[in-house]
Amino acid sequence: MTVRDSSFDRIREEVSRDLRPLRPIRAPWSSSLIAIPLALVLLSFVLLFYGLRSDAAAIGAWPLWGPAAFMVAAAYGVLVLALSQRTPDSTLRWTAWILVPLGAVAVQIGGAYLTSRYSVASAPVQWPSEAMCMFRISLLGVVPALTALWLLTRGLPLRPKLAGLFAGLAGGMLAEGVYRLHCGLSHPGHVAPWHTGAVLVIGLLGGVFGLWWERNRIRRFLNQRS
Amino acid sequence: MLEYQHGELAAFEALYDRLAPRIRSYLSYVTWNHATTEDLLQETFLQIHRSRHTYRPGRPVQPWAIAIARHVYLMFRRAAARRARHEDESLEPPDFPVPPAVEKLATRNAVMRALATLTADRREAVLLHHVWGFSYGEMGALLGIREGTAKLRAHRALNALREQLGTELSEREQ
Repeated sequence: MTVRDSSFDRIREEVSRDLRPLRPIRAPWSSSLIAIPLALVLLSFVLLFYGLRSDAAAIGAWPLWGPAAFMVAAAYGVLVLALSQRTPDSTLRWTAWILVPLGAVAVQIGGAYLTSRYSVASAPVQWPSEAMCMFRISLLGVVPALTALWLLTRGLPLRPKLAGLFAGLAGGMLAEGVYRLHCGLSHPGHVAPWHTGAVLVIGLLGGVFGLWWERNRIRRFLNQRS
Repeated sequence: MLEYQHGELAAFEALYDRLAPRIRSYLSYVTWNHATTEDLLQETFLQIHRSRHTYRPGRPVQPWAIAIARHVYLMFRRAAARRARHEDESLEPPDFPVPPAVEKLATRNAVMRALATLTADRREAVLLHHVWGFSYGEMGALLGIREGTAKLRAHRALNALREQLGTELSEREQ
């Protein structure tokens, strides 16, 4: 059935102005593979500038590298979820708002707890030094979070706040997963506020970006119609 | 769709012919206003054009296009809320399909009046499930809700429609 009317000519004209061939967006699992080179870059940076934690030899390879690798894998998973939102017909449920950040926190603290069982007890550290972890993780998380957000903006997520939050979380988790190889404190009392805090802060910043993006889209929508 | 992504205008025209009736039905169900529907139909196709790269080959085109129509409608609703302007819910919807589950219960006009009393979310559920036959899973993926929630919403929407039709019929009989 042909339903063309007067408005069709206008749409056709607009469309014919820009018909450059476009490559379809890649599958989320494929785009998210960027997490691997990003993790390697962060790893090189951490090893070069900060070095491995002092008790790395005592902890052993698996309890040290295992949770870090698992955290990077979890970051990849969250990035896949974030980038799956680029296609408008796949929308995550609202329950994901709660479950994914909770899962991220659980993976992080669980991994740190595992490492702490093997680590050599260290002297208590004053809070300004502990806060340095938060600062460094946030700083390291900027590049992966920005990359994830950039990849996100190539699509049309129907819930930009949620997608932005997940992209930020993925960036933060990636940074934390690598930085934990340097940080000598693995007990949950340190990890929960300073490491998890940093991841959540980057996630929230991603969410704020999503909010800004959504408002911008509404503003553009209003401008086009006025 | 792939030819359209490769830049062929004829492919866009074919896509328009195929999708416009459905998108128009969808928008008329959720906005319940003829002028707004036509306006948003244009906007939806422009958005489809701008976002044509977000279609991934191998996936069905229709849910993707309806999701973009939904995005445009939500933009419209949020923009309207920002302007503190409410939709004009005038009873002049364009041609719209009647759910088979209720078409024997009343005339087309009566169904239209009953649909007008439902919220946009419920009308959307009636259209997606009871008219177009979207499964609860497909509906949930489109709306970002669980399959069970989609089932409940579709069920409640149809019940509300039946209830409204029943009220209208009994009022007429009196």
